[in-house]
Amino acid sequence: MLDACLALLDTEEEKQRFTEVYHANKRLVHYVAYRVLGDEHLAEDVVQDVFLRLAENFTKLSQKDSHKLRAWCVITGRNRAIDLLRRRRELPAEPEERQTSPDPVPEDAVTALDNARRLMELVAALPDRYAAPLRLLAQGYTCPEIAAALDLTEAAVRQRIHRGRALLWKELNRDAEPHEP
Amino acid sequence: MPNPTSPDPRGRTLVAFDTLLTLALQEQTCRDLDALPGPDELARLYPDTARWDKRLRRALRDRRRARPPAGPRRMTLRRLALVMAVLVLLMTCALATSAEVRYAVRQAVLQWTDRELRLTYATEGAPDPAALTLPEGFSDHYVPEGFVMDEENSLDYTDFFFHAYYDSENPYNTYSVTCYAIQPTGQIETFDNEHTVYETIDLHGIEATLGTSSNFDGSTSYYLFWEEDGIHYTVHGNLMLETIVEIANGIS
Repeated sequence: MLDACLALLDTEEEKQRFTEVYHANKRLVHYVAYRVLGDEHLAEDVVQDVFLRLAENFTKLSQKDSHKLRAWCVITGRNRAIDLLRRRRELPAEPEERQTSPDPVPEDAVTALDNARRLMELVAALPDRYAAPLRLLAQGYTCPEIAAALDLTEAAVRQRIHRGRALLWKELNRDAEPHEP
Repeated sequence: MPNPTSPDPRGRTLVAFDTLLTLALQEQTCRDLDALPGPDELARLYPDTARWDKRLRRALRDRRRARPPAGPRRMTLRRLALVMAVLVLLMTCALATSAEVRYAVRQAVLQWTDRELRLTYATEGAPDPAALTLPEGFSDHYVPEGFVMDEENSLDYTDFFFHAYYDSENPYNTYSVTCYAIQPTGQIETFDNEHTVYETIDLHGIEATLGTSSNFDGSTSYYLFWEEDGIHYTVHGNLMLETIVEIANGIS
């Protein structure tokens, strides 16, 4: 029984909830990780990593509903798989500070509702390093929770969110007429 | 600030960028999740996940072992047990002397076994009641910045106190101070000897014993204990040695 090993969790209720979330999402995480890695055993590593992270942060994360937890599992699983792939191919992680930072998004930026479709396309094409923290943020997760899920510092999470927003704003206004606040 | 859904000069509805971005991110996540196989298809793809479950169970068990100790509570409970043992000894032995010479702590005997270092105090003479209690206002007066007393696990009596502290910023940093008036039949203290190396140091002119412990997580903790004027002192914690000594020097 899994819950017998869940000394990381405090209450029986949490243990039961964690076990349910694990059984409901383990195959999904494996599927997502396998699509990135193409390796059964590495995908299993990701499953283990994702659910260990979940167990360690479950007291906070368990407040979310099933849909948000499912999103967390999939986004975290994909991100961990990409990280693992990068490490195995010995690709260096891009240093945060070397990237050219686009102009920041104006504080009261507005855009036409007609741009929704274009923004969806841009979000879909956004690199995972920016997409993962932004998507978790949109699901209501906090910066510390996102940092724990993606194995980043909180500062790196904030920086990626800031850059991701700025990239999307810049691309959105590249073709369209910008809307000055 | 513009209205989040106000029209622009061309009659188009304007919305706050962050509102539209949040909706786009949520919608994209929903679409991605919907595009993934459903439970039935996943069960068909992965009919047997027993190996994953076994791996996770093992990993969870290992993670439990690798977890650092539960900060102040674990340490203080251990120390609390020790203090309670001393208390029992005090209570049971306090009336057992009838020597007629001046009361004094004659010697402190250290005995090493494989597992522990045992400290035994031997006394002589008839006790003056005042010698069996701690002086008025006797306490540890130096508390490092950021540390707070663990009130729940601290004890104060006339003849001994046990004060436990933890770092409010990092509760894994803990220390405790134990002091008691040595009773006529002496006391026995035990310290770890499996993972601790002992040496003697000079502490404001008094010979004190310093134990340096290697913790399983790679950190170091210290036991510093000594006897002075019939009072036993122990400072124990995983702080810098200089801080431990400063705490020790602040007891009066």
